[in-house]
Amino acid sequence: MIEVEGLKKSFKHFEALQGLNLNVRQGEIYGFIGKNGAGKSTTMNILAGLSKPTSGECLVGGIKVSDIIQASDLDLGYLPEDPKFYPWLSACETLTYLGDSGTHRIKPGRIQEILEWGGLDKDKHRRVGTFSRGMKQRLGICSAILHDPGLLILDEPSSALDPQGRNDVLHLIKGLKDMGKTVLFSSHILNDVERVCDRIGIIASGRMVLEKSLKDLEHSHLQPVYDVTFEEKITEEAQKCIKSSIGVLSTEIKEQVMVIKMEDGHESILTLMQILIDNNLKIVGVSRRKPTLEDIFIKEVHGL
Amino acid sequence: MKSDIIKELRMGIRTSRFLVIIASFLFFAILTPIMMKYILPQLLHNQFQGMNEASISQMIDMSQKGALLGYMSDLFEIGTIIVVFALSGLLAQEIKENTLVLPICSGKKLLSIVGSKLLVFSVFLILASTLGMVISYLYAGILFSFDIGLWPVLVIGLLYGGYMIFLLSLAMLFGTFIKNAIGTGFMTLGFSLFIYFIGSYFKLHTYLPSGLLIGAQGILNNQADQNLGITLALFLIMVFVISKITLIRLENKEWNER
Ligand SMILES: Nc1ncnc2c1ncn2[C@@H]1O[C@H](COP(=O)(O)OP(=O)(O)OP(=O)(O)O)[C@@H](O)[C@H]1O
Ligand SMILES: [Mg+2]
Repeated sequence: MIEVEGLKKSFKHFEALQGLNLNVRQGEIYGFIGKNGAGKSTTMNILAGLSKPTSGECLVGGIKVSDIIQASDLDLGYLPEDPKFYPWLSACETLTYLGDSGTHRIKPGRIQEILEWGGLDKDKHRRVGTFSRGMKQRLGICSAILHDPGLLILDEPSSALDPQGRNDVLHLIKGLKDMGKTVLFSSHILNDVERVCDRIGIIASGRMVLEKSLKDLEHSHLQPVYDVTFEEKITEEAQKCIKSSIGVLSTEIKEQVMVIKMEDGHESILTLMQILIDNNLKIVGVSRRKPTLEDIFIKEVHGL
Repeated sequence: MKSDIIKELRMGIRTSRFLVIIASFLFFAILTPIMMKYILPQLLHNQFQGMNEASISQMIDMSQKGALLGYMSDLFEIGTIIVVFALSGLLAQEIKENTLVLPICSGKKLLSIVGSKLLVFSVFLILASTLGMVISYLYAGILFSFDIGLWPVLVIGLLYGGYMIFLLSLAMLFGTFIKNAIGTGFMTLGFSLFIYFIGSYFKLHTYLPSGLLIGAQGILNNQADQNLGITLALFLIMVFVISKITLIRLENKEWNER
């Protein structure tokens, strides 16, 4: 759906994007994460056809962004980082205005449907100038999906929302996927990204440092650490035995639970089980530590 | 196009732009005849004690025509400033505040956006200018006497409106260069004064939009200008070219920038 190769963008003397590669597949939810100033918004602005790349290839839905005449030649909905509205129009008037454009016209009833979905129904006749930041954000998302595009590019869609609103947005993003749409969104709230994304891309200083499916990522970043819960209180003797087994790096006891860190090359669960069986220890459960996206993110962009 | 026109109308009404312009035109239309009939003679009388009625009326053209000429010069000196500053943000502000980003993403055509602005405010300026002129005509007629026909007054209103349309198109063009409404306003005013100066100094008014103002004065003085047709044609071409350049500049713009 989106193919970006060697994308560069310079502002005067500052190179915001330094050869970025990015790939979003049809029908997936792609989480775009990176530190402040990494170049997320710059990239999304180019993908939405609003600004031109200095160099590099950008294909959006099979169309080269450098070939388009106007932004709307691309079939996508875009939520800018800071969506701006006419303060003197009401929410309803704003959507009516945006909904009526020569190329795509919306069906009657669509605006009401969108306003209800966006939770703006009761404020639809209020001027947008009086809206809170979160309400404007909701209206921005409403306008992005107004034309029912196949691809959505959302720049921090949940940033200004309350917990309920964030939940709603994540719900919608998931719903969009079920409708066969592709979503690219950026966020600083890694928990949100973890909850809905199929794949993620981590950008740092204008370059993609990591692009993987969330599953692969968890797998490749699995730590060789197990939490083993024992039936009874762990004896010092048992601990000594485990510690001296081949493949165990260190152990630590927290009440009934022993944290066992394995050596590289011995991280498989079978090795651990063998050790436990050999020592005739009764256990209640074993779980391998899962890295959070935050752990991965911090590890990947560390020092960049 | 229809929704763009509605949007511009709402903007004109809800940001009070229409109101400011209409109010200022009417203010001068009503004030100028009063000034001429009552305040100015009184002032002169107080300043120069010995002056009698006859010599005062020699100094001031106390007639409907005189009042209209006075109104026209007020309009040129102050009215244009108000018009320019009321409308200088039309594009400059939209560009600065990124309010065009969502419309552009939603598939709005720049031609339709710029065209609607030009259309709505041109019609408004023509109406406002003609209305001001007619009010001034009626008021001056009541205060002095009716000695001109209404028809030339309507034509004058149109010509003044045309000149303001020229200012409007300039303000939109300069708005694509300067993101600041005030700066755009000063640039538009400066440029229009420059044109007026060139027209006067080189006797080129016929070929410049300022010729519309000179032509209007000519009509009032019963000196029909043979070349007014040329001036009008050139004015239309100029507004078209300026708007086309504005459009091209917008089409090559990058949006949502800081
Ligand atoms: N118009 C501009 N002129 C100069 N520099 C710019 C411009 N736009 C962006 N930049 C720079 O490009 C870099 C990337 O900016 P960008 O907005 O893409 O970051 P981001 O990843 O979206 O950050 P955030 O998470 O804070 O939204 C920043 O260092 C920014 O200062
Ligand atoms: Mg950003």
